[in-house]
Amino acid sequence: MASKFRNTNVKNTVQIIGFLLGSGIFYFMATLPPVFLKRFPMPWMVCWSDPLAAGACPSGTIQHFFTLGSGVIPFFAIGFLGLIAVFFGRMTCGWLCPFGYLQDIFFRMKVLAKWIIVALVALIIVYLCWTSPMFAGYVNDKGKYVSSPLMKLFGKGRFAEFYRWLALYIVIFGALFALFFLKFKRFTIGNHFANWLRVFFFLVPFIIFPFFVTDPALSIRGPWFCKICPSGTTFAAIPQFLFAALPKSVFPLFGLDTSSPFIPYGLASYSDIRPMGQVMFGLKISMLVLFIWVSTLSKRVFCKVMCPIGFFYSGFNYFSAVRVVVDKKTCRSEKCNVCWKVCPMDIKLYDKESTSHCIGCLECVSRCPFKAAKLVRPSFLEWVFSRRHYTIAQKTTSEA
Amino acid sequence: MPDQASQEKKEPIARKNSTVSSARNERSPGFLFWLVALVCIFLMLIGTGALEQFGFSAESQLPEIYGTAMTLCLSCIGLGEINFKILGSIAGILVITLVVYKVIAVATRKTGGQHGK
Repeated sequence: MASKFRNTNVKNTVQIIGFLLGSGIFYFMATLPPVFLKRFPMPWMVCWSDPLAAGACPSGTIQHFFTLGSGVIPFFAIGFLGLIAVFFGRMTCGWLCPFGYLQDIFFRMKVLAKWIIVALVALIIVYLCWTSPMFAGYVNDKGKYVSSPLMKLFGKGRFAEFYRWLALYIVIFGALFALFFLKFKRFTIGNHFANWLRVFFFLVPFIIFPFFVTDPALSIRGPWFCKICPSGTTFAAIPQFLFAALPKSVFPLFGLDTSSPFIPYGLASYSDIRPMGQVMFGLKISMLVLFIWVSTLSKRVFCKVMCPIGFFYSGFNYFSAVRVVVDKKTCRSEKCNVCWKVCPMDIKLYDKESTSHCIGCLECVSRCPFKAAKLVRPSFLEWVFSRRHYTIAQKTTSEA
Repeated sequence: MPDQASQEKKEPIARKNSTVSSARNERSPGFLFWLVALVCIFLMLIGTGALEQFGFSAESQLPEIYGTAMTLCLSCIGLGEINFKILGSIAGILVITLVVYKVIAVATRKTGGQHGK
């Protein structure tokens, strides 16, 4: 009897669980004493400021220790992430990362879904324009209200502000959303080009800049990758702003302290962050929308070219306990390319540069018609990756 | 036999493709796995301050992670003032990286390198 097992279904279910864990309903876990999980970096991309995330951001953790200076190395974060990666390689990217899952969804989205997203974001923008006009100004460290330079260009008055900011948003986002409906061809980012880009994003904004470059506005070295991270915008900025717009009376429903809507136990030093959303916020939102658009045209662009955690995991793909390999004897490579068609990372498994990009989703292993894509797994994980469902590499497997 | 014939057809294709990964070492975790796993455990222990008595590092990093995770980070959300100078430098280095990539890609193509197809 043929097995009804489908790796895609299992993966989607696990991804939804990962999405909720990384960015969803488990926020209440962060508010329960002791706040246990916030001591650990999550093994996938979340954000420090994600009000819904149960744990700390791995990328933020590492950058934070770099910004401290005094030669402090994030031993725990590196060891913790490395330990996960040495067992599973990049599998957390393929199975649990919420931002990876979002990119999968965006790529699969049909036109109707795109319209729904556009409508939702437009509603959020209108609401934010109404409740707290962006770019208006902010309260500085000395408690003084500082007007935004942009705001000085306009007059005052609530309705005038609303319409002006709405007009500004329509221009910015209208241009970006128009991209959704122009007919661009889907494209693949080559492994070699992707390698260059991810080395850049790992070294420059993630390692070198946090080590050496001070943010003049804050007088401390900043986590520069965070300033361009679209995952942070998705899972931190938008929820934070939406939370801020809610009446405080509903905060207890989310397990939040009424005195501090964002951070449990009143550790936040301010109560409303909306006036602080200025040009940088607009820039981040614009970059996010641009990323969403690119994600509809190419598979997992962020994972492939930008994610520093994915890049960190990549090196472990060559020797991790669980990994995908190709049997040279049976692979039909270009003649078949099923692995390329089903791969969420858009890689050809038989290409030698693909090893570091593989996120271990196991789609190729379960669908390869020639059983050339095989899974390496230790015997103690046999109950998870059974021989019945996946093609398992044998010790005796050898090249011709 | 048809199976045997198809197998014979497949093998030359696979042999010609030099980029196919080796499947020779498909076996349980090897030496490198155990070595790296032990190093990672060692790093974690240093990070938790458990090895302080042996002279490694000093205090646990977990409170630092916790403290930062519980503080709203302006950078992550994109709040605060924009610094065009620094973000511009990152963009500038990106452009330089792309130019260098292009130059190397073209040079490799001319010399008939791996990416010169």
